[in-house]
Amino acid sequence: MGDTEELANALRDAAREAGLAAAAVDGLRLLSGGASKEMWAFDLVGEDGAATPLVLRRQHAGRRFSSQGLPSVAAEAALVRLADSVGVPVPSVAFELPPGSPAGDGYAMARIVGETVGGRVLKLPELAEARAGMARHCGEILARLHGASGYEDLGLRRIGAREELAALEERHRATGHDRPVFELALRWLKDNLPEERTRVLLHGDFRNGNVMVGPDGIRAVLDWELAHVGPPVYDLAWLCVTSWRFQRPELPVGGFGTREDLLAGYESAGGAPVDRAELHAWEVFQTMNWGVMCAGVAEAFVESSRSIEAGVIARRASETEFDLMRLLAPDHEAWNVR
Amino acid sequence: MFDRPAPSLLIAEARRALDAGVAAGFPQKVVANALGIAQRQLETGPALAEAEHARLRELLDQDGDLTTLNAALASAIRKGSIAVEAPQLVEHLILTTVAKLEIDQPAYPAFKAWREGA
Repeated sequence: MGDTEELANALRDAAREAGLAAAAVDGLRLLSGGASKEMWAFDLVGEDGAATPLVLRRQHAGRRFSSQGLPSVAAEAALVRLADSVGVPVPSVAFELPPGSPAGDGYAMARIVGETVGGRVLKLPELAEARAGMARHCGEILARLHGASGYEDLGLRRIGAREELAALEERHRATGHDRPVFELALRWLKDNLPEERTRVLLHGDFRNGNVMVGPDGIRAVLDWELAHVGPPVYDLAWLCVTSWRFQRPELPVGGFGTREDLLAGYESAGGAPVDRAELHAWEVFQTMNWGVMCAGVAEAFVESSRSIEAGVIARRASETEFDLMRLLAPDHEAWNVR
Repeated sequence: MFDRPAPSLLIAEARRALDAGVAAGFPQKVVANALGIAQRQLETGPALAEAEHARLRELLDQDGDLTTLNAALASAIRKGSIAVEAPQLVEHLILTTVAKLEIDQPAYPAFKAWREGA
């Protein structure tokens, strides 16, 4: 459905079907179109003439939703509502597209203004105060999410430490490329990645770049499609991966804060105490996880889907090898070659 | 061992992008990045690869081309036939990784920070 007017009508109908007093959809425009999912901005005009700024996240009808067990984009809305209900800042869901809607599969949510580009979050002067409290706030947000119940019926994938590690190794092998540093990391992880004590609802991609920030702090946590159920440290460690620190590698939490602040916030909001050695082990895991993603892009590039962006991302796998060696052998004298 | 895609593929893709037209700003930067990787690999890659090859021959006490020896090392680590604590192993991995970053991303912030003594 390429026609904007048709999409606007379908949106208005979906809003009405959800019980909203919608008179019209105004100012509909495409914000971003990924390979499968699109974001549209629009104003929902009520029968009283008041306009509510919203964002539509959708994919075209008939396309399979690739995620961690969620059956559809519309089902992701249930997860966002759940996060909202436990105090995680999210764009509140306004309405879902009903099954069979000509608008496709998706949902509409509040249009929130803020910065999402990781490098700019770390640089903009007007965000300085926000940055100072963000590591702690991230800890609080994750503790609330990890304490949530009621996700059991969403059909999310459940995966523990051992299975995560086996899956990581399998994805690495599938790239068909010999990487001694990844082999070293895998061997280390087999000895050092602890079994989880508990499994909780995870965001799955919680990092600088997936949060919307304003001068008042984190306004919304975005990109929920990798949500799944697993060890809580998974989310905490992903936030600390060096690649997400952009120009500020010396600040381990997203380039804006310290692990101490992150964990203090986590525990103050009810998160179970985090063992530092377990966090370190998961940082090794998550660093390699990002590396395997980059390496996977290299395979795709060589096999079929060539683009200049993919070529450059593929050559970022080496940054994770560097970060892995810094994590695994920080004191080795070979570092003195610089 | 440098990662894929090889310089010739990066150059071909950059050329194709330029033929199709590249917008100023970030897209242009991506093309320049790709060409930078290719240029550095063509200029200093051979010497770095030769040093890596020499270290591997000594570490594994084995002959063969770089690809073969790199695969042999990966396999030895996986199977546990080389001690992961062996200082020469770790030294080889650090030096090889540093060489890769010189080519792929000398401006990677964590790499730059280490270079500058952090």
